[in-house]
Amino acid sequence: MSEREKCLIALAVAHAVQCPYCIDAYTQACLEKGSNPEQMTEAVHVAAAIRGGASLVHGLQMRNAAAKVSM
Amino acid sequence: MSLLSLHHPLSAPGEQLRVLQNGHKPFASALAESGLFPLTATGIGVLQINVGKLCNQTCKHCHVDAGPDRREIMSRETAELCIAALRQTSIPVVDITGGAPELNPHFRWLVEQARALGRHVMDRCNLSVLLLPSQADLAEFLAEHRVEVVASLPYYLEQQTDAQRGNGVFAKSLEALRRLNALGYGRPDSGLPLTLVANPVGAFLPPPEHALEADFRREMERRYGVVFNSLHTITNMPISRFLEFLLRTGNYDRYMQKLIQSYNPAAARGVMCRYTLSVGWDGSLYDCDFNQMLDLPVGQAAPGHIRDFDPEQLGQRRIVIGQHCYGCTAGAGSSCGGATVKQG
Ligand code: SF4
Ligand code: SF4
Repeated sequence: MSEREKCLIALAVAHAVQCPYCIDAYTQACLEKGSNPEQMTEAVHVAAAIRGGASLVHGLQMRNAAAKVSM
Repeated sequence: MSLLSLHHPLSAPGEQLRVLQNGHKPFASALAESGLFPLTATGIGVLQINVGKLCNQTCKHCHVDAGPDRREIMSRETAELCIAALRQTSIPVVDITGGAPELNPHFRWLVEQARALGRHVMDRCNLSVLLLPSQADLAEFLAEHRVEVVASLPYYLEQQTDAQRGNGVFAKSLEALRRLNALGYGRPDSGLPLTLVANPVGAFLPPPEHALEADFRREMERRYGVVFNSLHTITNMPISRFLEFLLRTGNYDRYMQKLIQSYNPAAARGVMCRYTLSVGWDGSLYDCDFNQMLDLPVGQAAPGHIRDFDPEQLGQRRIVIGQHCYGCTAGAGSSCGGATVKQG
């Protein structure tokens, strides 16, 4: 993987863990590896989709917990 | 508009130097710690001739403060002195810059003379100049004289390029590149080298040169069918219009700190002033084009004008340095030939 791609992953993870320092640092780092704001936004979209997907899948836990105590 | 036309205080080199003096570790100390002080020339491999500040563009980062309103332009007499100096020596490379150098009425004469002396000639071209009606035959002229075209293109997308170089510049640059490609420029083995020069569109350092070259090669070919031979990265120098941008946007301190923290002794050893002599539009001599714009002429021990050209003295002169020099030594380094520490 290229340094530029690794940096985009780091940027996406920084958004997933919502670390403001990491977001600043990896924004700068991504630009310095040759990425552009559109590509960086795409990386954030991927992080958001994974987080959103994970939330949705945890809905199963809710359904199971509800089912367990329900008649 | 240029800073000069706007009567901006930063149009004065003295004011730029005053801002740059503030507080940060002196460049001389960094050099001393790497055993490079005083910095001296190792010869003259490149004669870089700045034929004037007139340009058809007004890029936001321009270290020359060039533009359509600038009138400083090299005369035929001074151009003749440059050729006379070349004749005295075997300096292999003549690097012609501006402004848009092609707009100087003596540009073509200078190219013809330097080529007749068997020197490799580079034209630092902004691409859009090739589309001006007055320059309709410029591409053919450059090809005929086998001039290397060194073309500025900060990024392979329109948005970034136009943000720095002006609306519509990217589209014009593409058309110019296609014209050059049609003549053989950028094609392997054509003997017509096309070098792209990319610089960051903002207050950050350039990517590693080899990685950006690979990205550009892929994207320029895939998106636009454009080919080139090589790509150089250049760090934005904290002077003139880029300095104004840094100060206006509150990025100045952080950018300077970044340059200073990224000081690389290997890059310092390879700075271009050590093998380049820069000639101004009026024939004055400088260690580099940046010093030229800051009004920092070659040290007093060396001749100060091209009419007094003395290759021996100039080839071992002591370089005049300042805080802006950190722009040449950050990371992989930066010069008119791109990074000074090459990888990959
Ligand atoms: S950067 Fe080059 S093209 Fe842009 S204004 Fe300056 S001299 Fe002209
Ligand atoms: S700014 Fe000029 S003098 Fe300073 S290091 Fe760079 S090339 Fe040399």
